[in-house]
Amino acid sequence: MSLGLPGHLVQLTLARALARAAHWFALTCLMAAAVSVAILSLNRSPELWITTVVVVAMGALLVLFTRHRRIAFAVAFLAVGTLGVYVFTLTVLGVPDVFPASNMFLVALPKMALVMVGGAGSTALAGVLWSTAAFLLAEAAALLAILGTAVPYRPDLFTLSTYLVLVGVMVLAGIDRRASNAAQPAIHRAVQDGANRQLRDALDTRAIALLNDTTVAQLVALSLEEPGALSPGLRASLNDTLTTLHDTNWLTDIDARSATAPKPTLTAQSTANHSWLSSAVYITIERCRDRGLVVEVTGDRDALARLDADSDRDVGLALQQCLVNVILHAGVASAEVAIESDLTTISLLITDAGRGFTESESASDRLGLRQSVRRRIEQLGGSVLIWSRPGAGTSVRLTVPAAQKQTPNQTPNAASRRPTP
Amino acid sequence: MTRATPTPRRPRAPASASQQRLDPIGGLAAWPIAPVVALIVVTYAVVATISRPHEIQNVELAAAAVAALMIAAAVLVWSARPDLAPFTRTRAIVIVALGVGAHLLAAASTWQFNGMIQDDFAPIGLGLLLLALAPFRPWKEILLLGVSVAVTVGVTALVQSPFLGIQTPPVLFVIIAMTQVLAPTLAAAAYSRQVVNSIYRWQTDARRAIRARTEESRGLLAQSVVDHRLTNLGADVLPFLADVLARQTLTASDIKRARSLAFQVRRVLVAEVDHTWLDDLIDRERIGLTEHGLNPLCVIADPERRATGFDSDQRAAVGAVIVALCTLKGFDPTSLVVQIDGSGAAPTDTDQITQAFGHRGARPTPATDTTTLDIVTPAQTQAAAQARAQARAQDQVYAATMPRTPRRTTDAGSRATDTITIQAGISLPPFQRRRALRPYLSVLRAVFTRVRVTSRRPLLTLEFDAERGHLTKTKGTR
Repeated sequence: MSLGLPGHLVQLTLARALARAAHWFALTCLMAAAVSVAILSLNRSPELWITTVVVVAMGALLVLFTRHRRIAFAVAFLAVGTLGVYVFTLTVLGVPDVFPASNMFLVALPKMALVMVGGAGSTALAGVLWSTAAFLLAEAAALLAILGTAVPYRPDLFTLSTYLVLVGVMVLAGIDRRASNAAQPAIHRAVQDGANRQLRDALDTRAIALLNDTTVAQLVALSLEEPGALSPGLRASLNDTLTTLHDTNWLTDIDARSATAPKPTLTAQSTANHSWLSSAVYITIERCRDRGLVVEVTGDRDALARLDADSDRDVGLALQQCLVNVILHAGVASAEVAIESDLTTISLLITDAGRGFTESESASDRLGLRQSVRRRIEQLGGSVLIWSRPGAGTSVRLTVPAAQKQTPNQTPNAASRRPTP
Repeated sequence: MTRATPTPRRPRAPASASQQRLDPIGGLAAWPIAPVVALIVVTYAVVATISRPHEIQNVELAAAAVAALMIAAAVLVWSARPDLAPFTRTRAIVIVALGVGAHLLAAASTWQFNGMIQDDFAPIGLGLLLLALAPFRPWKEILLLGVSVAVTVGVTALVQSPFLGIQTPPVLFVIIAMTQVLAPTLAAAAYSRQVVNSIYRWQTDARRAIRARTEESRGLLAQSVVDHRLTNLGADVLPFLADVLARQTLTASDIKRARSLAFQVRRVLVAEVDHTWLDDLIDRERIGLTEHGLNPLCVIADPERRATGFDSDQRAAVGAVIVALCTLKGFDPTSLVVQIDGSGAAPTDTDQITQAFGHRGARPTPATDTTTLDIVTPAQTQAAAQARAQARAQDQVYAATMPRTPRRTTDAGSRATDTITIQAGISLPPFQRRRALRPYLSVLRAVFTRVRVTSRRPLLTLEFDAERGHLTKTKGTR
């Protein structure tokens, strides 16, 4: 992943993450304090239960503040927290003959939790100010409480170091990342460029395939003809090519056509036959029959109704290239197109008993298979398999994903839901 | 009771994501936390050890404990160094293991004479080390490591409790010791989770916006592609076809001309098909440099078209670094060389196209364009039947294997490594050059493996590997 946060989001994101971290730190301290005091109250001083309640109240306010980041809750947490620190320090250090001095980690727990209020500051400065206020209040409350107990005062380094680490982290997060400021937009531009290039390549792929289908195929067909009058089939296809190319919007036209094309009907028997007759596969086969190729169609023709407009168009064009290859290169006048389908895919197997070819021979002429057949089918998420050998014919299998096949018991429901035309 | 419309779930980042991996440039800014934490940990360990000489029974063990924590801190600083990114799980485990070792050694050195748990340096040191992992490791891992450390520390406290100077229930010592580890651990895990989710959400939105912007330009792009193609077709082909159609007859010279035009057009198209995104990128930079009155010489050596196997992140990273190099002050426009070679099979067309459009169910076709079958009987029916049977068998094999390995990209799942070398002459002082390129290198390190930078003035060489063939995330076209 290269898309890092842009400059204007960095501060906000880091502030939120620091707030979350500070809250969890504080909650852990408060939980530890509550459990410790509860254990002490069970074992030593039953009157400590009130301290447990105060710590739990601090925890509840903290959770409230975490959920709704409002200044009122922060102030309430500071007020209740200061009181909590006072009560906690007074009662815990008041347990006779347990703690030798005031600088106990246990006593520091609610203070450290209170300091963490600064983590929720929206800017580094605000955070430092909140933390400093909390630190001063906590230390003052603790000092006041210690004076009321018999234990000697020792400075509490735990709270001090927690405060310093928090302030350090907030300042670090608040420092502007100047060095990276220029790089981040450059990465964004590179990603956008990549996306544009990808789209352009997809359009280019389609354009090259179309040019190969039309222009190159026409030129090759002409070059294989004998001198004389044009055959009706050649005349028709030449006309078709020129009409397609003279309209300079052929790429976008295809998009527009496919976008407005009606969605295929999936199951109705009456429309299935119509779908076959209007499918690009049928039209292609008819066009090749016009050019003198005998095409035998077998298998599940109705399955083609499950192809959407894009797939139908591209399968038709890929099939056209395969059949044109038979006409131009196979040296036979017949081919078989077998349509097979399973739950999620439809396959067309185009077989001829012609000359066949080997890979090395086809290398110079790979454009048709590579661009007009393979890339086109693969853009649909399908696959192409080719078997051939000189003298033993060629089989090409085009497999494309299609709409899920309806099971027989679903059919009546599906049909009844469809509005009548 | 009425139920509110459920709000769509916000996208969650993958469990393995960390701030450094998702936002390498942001991770770069977070790296100073490592040396700062290391300094605090080491200083505290030394001070705490020196200030408690009466508790230490075995000086060697105490020294070993401080040494182990120092090594842990050193490993942390080394692991977090931007030029050694990404921070791996192994490094995190090594750091924590060294810290735990230091803790056990310290406990052994004061065995039976430890006055208080709270002033032991190791639990706090371990807590800080875990805190420093926040920008570099995923939250679940930090939590798991932290909880394991907390349990170890708790057990040690419990074992030591009979000998401690304060008389309280032993479980209190356990709570104190564990809190010193758990509080920073939970803070680190919460930070990592929050920041990773925020970045991930932003990335999801940004990608959506990029897609939308790209779609908006579809019409313009299509028009420019058509114009480009028709220009490439030359002024000859269409008039020739129109002329033949108008005359309705073919002459011998027409046939000859058709053959020559077919050859020319096909040659142009084949050359275009072999063009990759890297060629486009360099072409654009070349044009940019020429516009600035320079005379650029940029060389690409990618004979196997390995660039096509790169995913969109890798393309963006390489694109950004090349653009940055070309616009750097002191860049020698005649010096840019981009070379891609490697081991394993080069990517096939199938890889690029099927994944470019995000069809998960796409099936790979065999690597070569044509697979020759040994068909013995020439009879048409038998050949067809055999081909069909073979096709069905292939289909079944794919159907059986694909659901388990949905995004395998090369045949037989073999791994392939592409090594990219970018070389450029830049006459800038090393410090400035490093500073300018640091963010781009951090991005390269996030999407490629083994990024090496060598510099022999004025020549700068970047070398990095891209691994394919093992559940790759390839998305892209040419």
